[in-house]
Amino acid sequence: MLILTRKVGQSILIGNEIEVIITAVEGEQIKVGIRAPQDMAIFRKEVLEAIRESNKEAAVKPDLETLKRMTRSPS
Amino acid sequence: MLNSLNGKVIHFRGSVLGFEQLDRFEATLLEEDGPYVHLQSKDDAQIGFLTANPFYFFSDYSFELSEPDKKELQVQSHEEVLVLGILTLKEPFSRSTMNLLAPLVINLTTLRGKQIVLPPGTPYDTRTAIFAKTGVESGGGSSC
Repeated sequence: MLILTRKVGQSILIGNEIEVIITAVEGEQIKVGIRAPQDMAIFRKEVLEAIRESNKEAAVKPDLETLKRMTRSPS
Repeated sequence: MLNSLNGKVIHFRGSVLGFEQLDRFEATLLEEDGPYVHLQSKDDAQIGFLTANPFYFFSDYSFELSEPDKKELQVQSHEEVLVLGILTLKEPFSRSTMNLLAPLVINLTTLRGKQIVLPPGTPYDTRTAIFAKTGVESGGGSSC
C-alpha cells in the first residue's frame, strides 16, 4: 500500500481522472473531497460491507412451499 | 407488473454484493398479484433470495436511478424498470426485514438486473422491518 503525507488543501491524483483532496482535519476526522468521472462508483467501504453481510444473511436455501406458507400467514 | 417477471431469468452479472460469482436468477412469483418474488440462482442451487416489491410495504419509498446505472441497465423508459427489495427472513416471518439501501433494479425488456447502492445521505438502511412493530398489520403476531 502506498502511503503519502498530505496537508489540508493538498491533493493526490490517481490516473488522469481521479483527484482526492484533503479538505479539513478535525481531531480524528478527516474530510476528503473526491473528483472522479460520473460513472465511477464511490462508497464508504463499511456501507458495502454491511450490504454484503445483509445479502449473505438473506440468502436462503430455496423451498418455495415453505416460503409460500410463511408469507401467507406472516404471524 | 410483477406478474410479467414470473418464470423469467434475470442477469445480475455479479452485481449482488457478496455473490459476485453469480449471474442468472430465475424469478418465481409466490402468488399471482402478490408482492413476493423468489429469486433462485441458476448458477448455484444453494442460493436463493426472497424479495418483494418495496412499494407494497413502504408507499413513500423512492430513489433516483443514476445515469450510469440507467446506462448499464440499458433503460429507455421508466415503464420497463422494476424494483425489488431483498428480504432477510426472521422467525416469526412478521419480524422479517427488507434491504432498502441496496435495492435490486431490473429492466423488464432486457432482463438485466443490478443491485444498486443508494448514494451517501439516503435515509434507508439494510434491515427495515416490513411489518409495523405493533404486529397489528401482520395479523396480531405480537407473541414472542
